[in-house]
Amino acid sequence: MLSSTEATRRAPTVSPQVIEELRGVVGPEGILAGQETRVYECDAFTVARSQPEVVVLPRSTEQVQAILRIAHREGISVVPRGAGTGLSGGALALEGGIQVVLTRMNRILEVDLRNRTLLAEAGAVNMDLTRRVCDEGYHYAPDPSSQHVCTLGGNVAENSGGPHTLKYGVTVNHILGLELVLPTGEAVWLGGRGEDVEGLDLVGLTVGSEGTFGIVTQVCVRLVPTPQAYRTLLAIFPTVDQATSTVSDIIGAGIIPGALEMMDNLIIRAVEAAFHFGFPVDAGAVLICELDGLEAGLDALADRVRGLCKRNGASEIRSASEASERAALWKARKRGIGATGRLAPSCMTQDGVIPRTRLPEVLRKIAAIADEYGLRIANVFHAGDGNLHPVVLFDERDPDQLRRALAAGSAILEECVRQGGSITGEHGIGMEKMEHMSLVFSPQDLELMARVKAVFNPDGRLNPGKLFPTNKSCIELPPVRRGAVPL
Amino acid sequence: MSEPAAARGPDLAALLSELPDFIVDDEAVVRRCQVGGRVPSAVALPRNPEEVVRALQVASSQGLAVTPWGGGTAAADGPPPNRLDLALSLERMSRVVDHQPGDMTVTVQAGVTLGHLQAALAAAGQRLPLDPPFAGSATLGGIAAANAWGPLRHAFGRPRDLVLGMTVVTAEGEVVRAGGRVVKNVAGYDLNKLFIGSLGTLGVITEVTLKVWPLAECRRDLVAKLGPASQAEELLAAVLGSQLLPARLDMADAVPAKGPGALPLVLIAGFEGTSEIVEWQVERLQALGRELGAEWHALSELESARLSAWESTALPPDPPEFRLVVRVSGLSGDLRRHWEALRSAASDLNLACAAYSFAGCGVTLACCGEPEPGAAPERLCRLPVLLREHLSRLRARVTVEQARGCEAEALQWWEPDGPPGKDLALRIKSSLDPKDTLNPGVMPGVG
Repeated sequence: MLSSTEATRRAPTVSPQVIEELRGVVGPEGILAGQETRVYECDAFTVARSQPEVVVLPRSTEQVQAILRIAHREGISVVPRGAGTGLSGGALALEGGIQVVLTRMNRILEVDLRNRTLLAEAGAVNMDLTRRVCDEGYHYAPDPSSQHVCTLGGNVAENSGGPHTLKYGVTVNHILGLELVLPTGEAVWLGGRGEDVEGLDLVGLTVGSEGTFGIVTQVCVRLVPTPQAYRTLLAIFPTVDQATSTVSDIIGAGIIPGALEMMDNLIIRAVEAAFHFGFPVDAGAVLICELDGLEAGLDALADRVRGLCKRNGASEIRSASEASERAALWKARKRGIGATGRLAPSCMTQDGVIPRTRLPEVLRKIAAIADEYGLRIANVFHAGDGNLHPVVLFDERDPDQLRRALAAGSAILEECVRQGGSITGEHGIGMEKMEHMSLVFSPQDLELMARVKAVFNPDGRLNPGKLFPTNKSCIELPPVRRGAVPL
Repeated sequence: MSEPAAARGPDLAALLSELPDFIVDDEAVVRRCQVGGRVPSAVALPRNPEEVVRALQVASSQGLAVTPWGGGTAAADGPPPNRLDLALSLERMSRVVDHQPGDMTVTVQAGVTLGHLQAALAAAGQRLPLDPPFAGSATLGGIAAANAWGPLRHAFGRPRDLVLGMTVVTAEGEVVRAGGRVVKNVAGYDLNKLFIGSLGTLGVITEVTLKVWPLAECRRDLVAKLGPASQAEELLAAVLGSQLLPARLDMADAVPAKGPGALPLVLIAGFEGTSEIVEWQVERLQALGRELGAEWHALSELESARLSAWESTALPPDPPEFRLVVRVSGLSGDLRRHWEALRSAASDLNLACAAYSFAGCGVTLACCGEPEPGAAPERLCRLPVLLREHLSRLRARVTVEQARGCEAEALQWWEPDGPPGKDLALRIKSSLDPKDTLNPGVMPGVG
């Protein structure tokens, strides 16, 4: 159990001398201490908070190395952070210590279109990668909803996804190499700049390690040609069931859309109130199906999808024919979760994954769970991947609601696992789902993960208290104050 | 501990009071599982994960070295293990466990061959978009362990991009699961990545879950015969810079065959999808060719057979006595320079050399041998070192894929500085396999 009040009560681990030494490394503009670090007390998992003792904003790999060497010498814990958009509390400095914020390392260092690669610093914003090369007909494929602010380093830590990963794959499928500064301060390059480097797949292992192996400082990504054409369909259904059955039918027909997304009525209403896109507020669900690729044959494919939507009872099928309409539609979808702010003071987004044929069944179960816990749960998710994002709506000022929200979240994850799925598809374990790891992994599996972690991070000082279950109940203790949540 | 470099390891029957019924030491069986001249003392043929655990517990307690065995298709690849007592063959674990067409996933036991799996998937209109060599005998466990791939990598990636989950038995006999059965999953570390491509040095894969794709409605492969390398380079850049989405894009040189079907420098492009998509691309490809003075024609069956034999680095029709297959990995845009380096290194050493490039991903396999039978292998052994010198100014890496007729010890198989993150890899190995039970001396990139 930890709250920011306790964090500040905890004995300091960073002495004034060390703070001065860090100031010498990053300069007076690159360091925050004391109450100034308050802004870094949480990430997008807003129900938990813990304040770092000192925040440093390095500008180079050498500075990151110097910071980690100091921390290593002093035995201080270090937590890396990008833009703080993570939804699982992965960037929380649970032991205080030093927070290393990478946002000032945001340069794109090299673009090589012939070889379809781009080299950038870890703090580069996801969207800036695409912006840099889109005029030349390329893009960086993983497109998490926070892509306008989230950083490449954060994407690597979480193995981020996004709507278009259905066809194009997640972050790990697009990273060729990376520079990793180990907790000792030693910097190593893993992978390379080309597609093929011999040896163990340490890049693949590091992607998704949630900042527990080291601090990623540079990343070489693969660029993907931008599709020649799109057909973006918006199908409106009276019920969620009809929409989820359509998803199964599209996939079952051997059609792989670029993206296949679903929003239920609660989300539609929130998004409509926020963006006035023209969604029908009385619809049970809408499906966004984006087909992309070569112009040739795309209309025929779109017709097949229309047919499947109709067969499942779609009341209306619209298409975004203009690029501006398509952009507006995606903006509305990607800000869907943010728009739920209109529905309740607090929300908690789950990230379970299920085999896609189980969608109808599991969505019904989620509705039942909402009833059981007396909460509203909105759904906006990557239907084509079977990656759910049930948004549990509540008021965190009410301890009972918070308790019920956490319990409903757990019940949803348990259902996902029961259906042969996983507890997280793209948000990571962080501190949020540590205790749920035992639902999907045996003690032997976890022991192996711990051994791998120990190779990179032997004393566990890097991003401590994350990812592994502590076997403590996560929802027992009442919150001390608004925002604080028991671990 | 095991005997060093004996033709056959210790007598297992003597070591163990009783040999479990799934471990056999018949001469015929053990000969089949030899690697680089090392013959195991016995072969374990487990029928289930429990027997795999038992075999590893036996090996671990007796200090025996174990080589996991799939279809044996990569047995000639890389340096041989420096000890081999027990081969652990997964051939009896050859069941397709669960195929869910609607979920586009399939779970198989490690001993299922790629050919068998493709036939099972095809019945449901699906396939695994992987085409490594020897589909008829290569097993999914072996393919995962070697991260083996073929030309389709250009569009679909490698096993590391398609494996969703696996069950592995560790060197100490623990059963662990990595990943899961869903297409997106970031729960914990992705331990799949640890085992895929680890060449059986970290664990024995017993089950694999993979992402599958719909069968393509239509497929066409075309070939363009080219003049100078500069023309190949231009055409390659034009295809890669166009809106075409080839499923494969390869370049081959002097396919080592005499008689009909022999090819000069060629570029091969393959397209898949609906007939409309394929036709549009073929037309566009031909237009690009015309602009650059190259003519594309459909790949004939004979050419196709020659190329598939070559792309797999299978033996060419007339195997030279001494042979080295090297892999040059670098940037696609540097291919021409990779080829020049290969040619000059081969010519300096008076070796015959033929190359096949997976052009989009910058990987070239070159098969080099003595032009005359009966020549000494010393020059062949010098090739990797010389090639690295020629390539020193590029970001290219040279590794030896196969060696025949060269002393394994005389060869520099891997880059002398080791792969990126070598120290981390070695620490992982000693943490997971402290007794060096699994494929000792075979760590990829390290030895």
